[in-house]
Amino acid sequence: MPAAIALAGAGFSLLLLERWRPAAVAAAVALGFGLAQAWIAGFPGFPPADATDSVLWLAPLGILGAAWPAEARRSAPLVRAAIAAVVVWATLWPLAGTYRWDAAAGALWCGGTAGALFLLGPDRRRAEEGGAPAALAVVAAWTGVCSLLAHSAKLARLSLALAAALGGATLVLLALPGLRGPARGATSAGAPALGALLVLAHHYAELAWTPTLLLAAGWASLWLPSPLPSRGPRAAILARAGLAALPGAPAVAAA
Amino acid sequence: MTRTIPFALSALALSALLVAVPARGSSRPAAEEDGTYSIDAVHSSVIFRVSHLGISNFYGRFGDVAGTLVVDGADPAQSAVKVEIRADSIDTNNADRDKHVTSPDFLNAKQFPTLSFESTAVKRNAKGDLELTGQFTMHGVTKTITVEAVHVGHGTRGNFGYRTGYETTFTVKRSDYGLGYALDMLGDEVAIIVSLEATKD
Repeated sequence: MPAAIALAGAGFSLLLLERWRPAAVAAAVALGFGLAQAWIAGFPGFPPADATDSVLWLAPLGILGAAWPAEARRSAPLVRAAIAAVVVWATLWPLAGTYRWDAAAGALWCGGTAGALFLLGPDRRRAEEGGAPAALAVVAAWTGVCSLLAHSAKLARLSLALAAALGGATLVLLALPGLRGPARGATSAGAPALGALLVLAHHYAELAWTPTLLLAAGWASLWLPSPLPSRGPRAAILARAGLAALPGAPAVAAA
Repeated sequence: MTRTIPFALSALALSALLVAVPARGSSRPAAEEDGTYSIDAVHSSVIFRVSHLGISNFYGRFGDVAGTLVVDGADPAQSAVKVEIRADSIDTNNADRDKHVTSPDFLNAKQFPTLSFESTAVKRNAKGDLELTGQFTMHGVTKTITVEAVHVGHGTRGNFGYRTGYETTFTVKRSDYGLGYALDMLGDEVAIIVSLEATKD
């Protein structure tokens, strides 16, 4: 049911908003995810007391990333870095007291995680590829399965809701291939949320390192050259999703 | 006459015994020594009870409890209680379930490693028990609650040193503390039984 809500919310909103800017598409994906979040665990308060309720509040970051003007190429990496930093602040910072990190260890953890999320966050060219939302959807789905195996049904359902919302975007892109705006909008919305869910699964639900890194590897596959570019945009989308799905099976086995 | 005297003596002895040994349950232990006490985790218990499917009551426990009691018999308002319970010390007799209960679905023990109670006001009620009002924190949410603490006993026993003991049972609604997962399966009301034994510092 949460997946259906997210998929319907994102899919229908995308169909309505496709002619608009990528930021509107990012908002549509966030809306689909938000509806599912409300159904799963209630609408989270702001500021969220529980870090696992912070995912929805990261949506404005995705909308900001999607809205960043195309001509502002120099500042785009700074925006990606800022988004990664905010994701870390929302998800990892609440653990600083629990883990009793000293300054150096805290800086290493937070900086390292932000750096990893910055590298994973697709740049503009990759975000505009039709298969990017599909790849993120697949990784989100695997994250959901791994979270469930790590005993957190809440993180599992949130991950599957994100997968469904991105799946809605993917269905639109399969129906109307070649649209760059919706691809970038959906990817911009999905990347911060997926990053947050991976961090939460690892640190809060104690998902082991091996499955966490394998899931990140699935995400990092976006940096590989586009598979099957000559078979048309639909085949490329499916191939991209398949490539991202490959590390998922061993991740589940290791979870 | 010879049969009446032993009977009278027996009746006298029985009466004396009844006066000397009050009936169980009707007596209260005399006040313990004033001072600060540290909770003895080994001899203290924190147990919780929650309805499962509305069919049965399930019991679990927390194994790691710490804190202090400050006792002032003459002026109970000067007494104080501070208790901290480690969330990840929960024991539900099933390791997988323990992991689930400490996960973000319930206690989120990584972010909220302790449950705690800190008194803000202490008074003795009409029954002679202590009425503790204080801040109870669970899952990062703090609410003011009032509990009744029964003084169970005190004294020096063998090599254990001077000790005192209190017990309380109170009920909280877990949804009030942001613990709304699976309310259709597990009851919203959770009874918490805290039995503390503390050694005099």
